[in-house]
Amino acid sequence: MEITRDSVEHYAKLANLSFSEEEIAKMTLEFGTILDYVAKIGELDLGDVEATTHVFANQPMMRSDEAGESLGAELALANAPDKESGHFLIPKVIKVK
Amino acid sequence: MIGSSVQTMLSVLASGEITSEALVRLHLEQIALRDHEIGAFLFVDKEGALATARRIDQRRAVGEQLGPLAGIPVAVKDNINISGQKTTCASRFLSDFVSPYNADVIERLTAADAVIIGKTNLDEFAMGSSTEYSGHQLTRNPVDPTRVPGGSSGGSTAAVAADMVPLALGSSTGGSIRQPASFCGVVGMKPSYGRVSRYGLIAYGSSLDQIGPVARDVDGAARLLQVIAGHDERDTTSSFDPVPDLLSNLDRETGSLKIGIIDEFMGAGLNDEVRAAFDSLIGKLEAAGAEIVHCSFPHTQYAIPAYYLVATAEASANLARFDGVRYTSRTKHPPNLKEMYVRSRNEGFGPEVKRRILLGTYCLSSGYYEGFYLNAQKVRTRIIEDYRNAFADVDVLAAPTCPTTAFRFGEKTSDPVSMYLNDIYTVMANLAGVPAISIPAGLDSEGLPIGVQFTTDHFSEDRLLQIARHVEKLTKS
Repeated sequence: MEITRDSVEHYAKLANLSFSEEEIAKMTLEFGTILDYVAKIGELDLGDVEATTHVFANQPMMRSDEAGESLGAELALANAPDKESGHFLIPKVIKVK
Repeated sequence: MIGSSVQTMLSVLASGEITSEALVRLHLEQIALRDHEIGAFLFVDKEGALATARRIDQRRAVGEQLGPLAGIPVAVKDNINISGQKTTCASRFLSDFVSPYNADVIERLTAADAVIIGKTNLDEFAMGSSTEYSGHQLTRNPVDPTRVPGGSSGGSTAAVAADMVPLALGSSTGGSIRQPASFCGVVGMKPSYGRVSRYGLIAYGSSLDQIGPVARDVDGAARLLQVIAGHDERDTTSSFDPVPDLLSNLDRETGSLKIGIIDEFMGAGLNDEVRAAFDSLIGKLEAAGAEIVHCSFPHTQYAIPAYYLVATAEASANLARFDGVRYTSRTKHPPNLKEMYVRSRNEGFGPEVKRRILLGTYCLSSGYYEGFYLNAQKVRTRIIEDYRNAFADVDVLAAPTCPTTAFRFGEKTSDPVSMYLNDIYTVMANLAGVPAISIPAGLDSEGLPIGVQFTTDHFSEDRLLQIARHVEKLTKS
């Protein structure tokens, strides 16, 4: 399958990844090989076959909507690289005039 | 005591011939002796393990009722959360991540009075078949240190193979317990999907992931699985199916067995010595009264493509959470939020993880979703039907676990597809959610272990283990 470096860059961007010049050349080659391999499934006629999302779909997957105990703010924030007053701190996203 | 079966260890602990503390010390000494060469452990909790062992000894001394694994050292793959300890997934991204809670399996191990001795190495986020993609260290195969232990649970299987622990937990998405068990010459089992709670297992491919036991023998695997299996409301995919008694029938006669051999596995690509060992074992089973029949799994050649599409699609979603906000790693001085995400991920993830996220993103994207992801799920349906057809006729399926024995470092890292092909005999059980076990079946001419895999229908782990125990006896006869 023809994969260009532009398309690798495009999908990397969608996945919040980026590659150096050297990496992208290598990744473009490898990605083409992998896609050629997985594209094999296109040989099959799968028209009306049902898709399996989960191997045991006959089991109830929802719990009743009741509040219960959870981690709590302190533990949930324990691994945060930056935090303040019980919140995760991130770079500013809104410009203030 | 080092290298004995779990059964033996439990009986000498019960008789008072040895204390739990002494048993843990022996294993800590073995780790000190062997692990600088092997590199199976990322972290050894020496003080914690000794403290747990002493508490168990005190409780035993006053005649308290103890759990089924009381005093037995267990190692845990480092993608399973233990409260207050690091869980790194062998990723630079999580080098400093400290688990805020216990996985369900850890709660169960603790309730069973097992002694958790440390965390084992893996391919980063369990993505790999050789443990070479660990972001932290290499793990060497204890049988031949120039070769890989397999993966992704290579640390767990190497730790058991080198007698550093009698039991360990691994996790399997496409073969990550059975393949390294085969390479290291130990027993490794992937239970039915839903049998063991995934709560606290860092997700890779959620519809495929399953935690399972690594042990020196089938009895040890059964004992560990008995403890970790069971319904957990915190995992919505956890099964309500009652867990059978895995131990009481283990040594009973299996009765007449009808064993299916998957023809598609026996063709090109299978190493001659692995084939010979497999054929010889099937000959022994036949001589012992089993009926051998041939089964066809016509979708075998599509199993690895389907697996990589489903697993990477799920991985691309699961790993989106590692973005620099919540999980310890963030790039220094990001100019804005978007760059913070991108740079944190670039700095934290290794090449195989990036490759798989990229593939998953691609096959979920507009224009490719139907041809790739949806078709992969349809192939999955076909493979489930292939198993259903097979189990309408046979009791158990037998196959080599891997096409080859353990390969050398660097042999497959330059070609991702050749690494993926290593999983050819193991991925189908994950796609279908059926239980499968690999047990040692001799050595090749270079002394490297060969594994043989058995698979039964959903939630029949009791039957699978009983058959595996029967086979284990035959391999030793």
